[in-house]
Amino acid sequence: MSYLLTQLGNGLMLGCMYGLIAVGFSLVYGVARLMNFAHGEFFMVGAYGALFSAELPLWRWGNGAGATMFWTLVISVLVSAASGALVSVLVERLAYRRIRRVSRTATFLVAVGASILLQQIGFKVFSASPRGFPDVCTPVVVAAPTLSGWLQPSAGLPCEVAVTSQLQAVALSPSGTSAVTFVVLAFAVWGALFFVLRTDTGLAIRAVSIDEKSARSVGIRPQPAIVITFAVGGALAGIAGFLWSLRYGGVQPLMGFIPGVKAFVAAVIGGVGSVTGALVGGLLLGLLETLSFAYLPGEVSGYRDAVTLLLLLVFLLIRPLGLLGRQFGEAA
Amino acid sequence: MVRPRWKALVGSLGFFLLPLLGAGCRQEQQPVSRNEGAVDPAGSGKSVRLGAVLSLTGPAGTMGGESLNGLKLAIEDINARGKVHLDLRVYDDKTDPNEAAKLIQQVVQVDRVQAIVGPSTSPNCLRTGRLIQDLAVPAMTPTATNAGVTQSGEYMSRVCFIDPFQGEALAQFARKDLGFRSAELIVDKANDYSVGLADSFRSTFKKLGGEIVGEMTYSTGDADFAALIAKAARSEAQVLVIPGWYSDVGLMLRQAGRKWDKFTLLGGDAWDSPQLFELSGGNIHNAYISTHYAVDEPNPRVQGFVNRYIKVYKLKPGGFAALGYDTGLAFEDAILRAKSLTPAAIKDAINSIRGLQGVTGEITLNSNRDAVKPATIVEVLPNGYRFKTRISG
Repeated sequence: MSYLLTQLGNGLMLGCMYGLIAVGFSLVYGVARLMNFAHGEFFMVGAYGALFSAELPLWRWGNGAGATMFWTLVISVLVSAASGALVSVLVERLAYRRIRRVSRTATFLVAVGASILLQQIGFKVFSASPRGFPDVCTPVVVAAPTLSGWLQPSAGLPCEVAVTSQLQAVALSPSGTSAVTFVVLAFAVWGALFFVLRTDTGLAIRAVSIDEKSARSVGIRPQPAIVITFAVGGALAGIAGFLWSLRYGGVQPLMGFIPGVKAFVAAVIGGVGSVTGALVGGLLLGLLETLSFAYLPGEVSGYRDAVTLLLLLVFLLIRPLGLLGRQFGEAA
Repeated sequence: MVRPRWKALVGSLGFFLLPLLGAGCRQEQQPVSRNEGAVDPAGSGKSVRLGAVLSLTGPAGTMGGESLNGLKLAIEDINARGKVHLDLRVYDDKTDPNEAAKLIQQVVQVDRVQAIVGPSTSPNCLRTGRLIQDLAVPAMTPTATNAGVTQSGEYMSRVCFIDPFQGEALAQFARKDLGFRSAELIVDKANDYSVGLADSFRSTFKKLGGEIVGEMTYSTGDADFAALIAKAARSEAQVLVIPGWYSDVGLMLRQAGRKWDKFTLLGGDAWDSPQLFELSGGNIHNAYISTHYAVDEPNPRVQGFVNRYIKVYKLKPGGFAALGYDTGLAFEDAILRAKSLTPAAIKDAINSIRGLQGVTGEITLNSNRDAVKPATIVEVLPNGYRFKTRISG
């Protein structure tokens, strides 16, 4: 039973991350009618942004380990969101905007090209060697004598950090990182939904995604809506990149490719263009992957991607538009 | 309307393709260490142009990087001795088999090297073996241990032992030295090295009366090991055997936290990397690997190499650094004995290396051009290695 719960938790976490990436992917598709295959690379850029900000000696700020951890987290989230948004908007401005109205095939090719280009730039700028992500909870852990064996103190981190009450308990348990990840995930998802469903800008974006011409006729300019959508999608991918590397521990230039594909799948399951659908699709995918690994025999379980995608294929035969999908007007 | 559309199309595609091409060209050629100083100070030495095609970046990046460091140290020594002069050119295949194939073609046909050091990894060697045979240029890999690597023909050889032997050594160590009866395998199914090593461990362990209670697989580059860790934690096995690359294993160990404390972990020489400690966050307990030498071996030859390496690179040399050094020595030995400096003559001399004293032991190439020598078992500590035992074939 506890095994099931553990694996459900693992699946939920993975699913939330897929969902977070998929929401941005789906938003962009809805508004710009563009399969943004570079979305996974925004995720990678966000992860590197968080890596560099987490490596800054920010632990000097604030009093006590709890505050330190809190600020490191906040700054990492902000930096990863900003770098994801920046690269997303840049790609839109430099490439997609020129080509958006030419043809579907051309936009598709440009998106694949952007993806490869960003990976190559990643190799050049960050090097192809994987990097370990610093455990932002480390100062707290090091300070606790009972758990000194859990993680060796890394050079440069202060061992005399004062330990404070509540946050300590969270950070000290090996699942502390999971708890932190989950809280940030929940906030990001809530923020995205709130933005799209409850603000005027979100309304405008949804209007453009439903029918660009009609939206224009009531005074909504599509281009700013598209830019904002790219920024929001990129920021969500960036935050997902940070949480991914925090939880799984590594950062490398190709890290965005597979999660990008998975997000695409999640968006398709949920119905491309639908934000809640993307979220649900991501959750389903994460749970399916984790549970199939957990319960299938060893010879098959390693092929969890194949198992999952096979199920997707069957699902699409039954519901071609996905869970919450709707038909888009081709005229848009 | 047609013209601007075409302009936009060409502009956008061009925007992406041009820098791509540029980046590709720039990264391929990285002659790091060229012939510095006079070509041949003594005037009597045999000069050979050597191309090193190694994995300096990517998931096995430190494998190539360390062996390159060792190789450079050896070449310094060899050139100082003056009987052989080696002119080294270095290329990075990014741990990508197709990139390795491209580079091999380039170094032979464009840069006209007489011999090749590399490729680093088993998948890259398996991908390029036929090509090397067709190009008829001798290649010696410092580090690729998969059994099939030298099957491509007489132009491919190596200074390291092979995985069937490494797997046997690990199984012997687990069964006889540690006395374990049950093992679970966690295999990288996308990596020939990992699959081959697991196969030989499995058969030897069973032969010695052990039991394989379960097997799981993952793929190179996976990031989420949470499900795998929880599943393995339920295993009845006493030992988990994980013959994967340090880049994946490091993340796996970090994510495992304390959930695997009841197991002893066994790995192959692909764990041997300084990056293992960074990626795992030092979260390594009860782990042993088979590798090529131990940095704390009291042997004076080993300590001489270790001290010099630390002086030059300010790092402790891992097993691959030692293999890189020995690859240099093997080329010196072969070139000294070679009848001429044609690739074919160098190849014949390499294939008759017998009893060469290297840092990783005495190197003799057998009829398959594989080095025959003992495996070293080291304990992996959170920040280094400790010599445990040595297992001969």
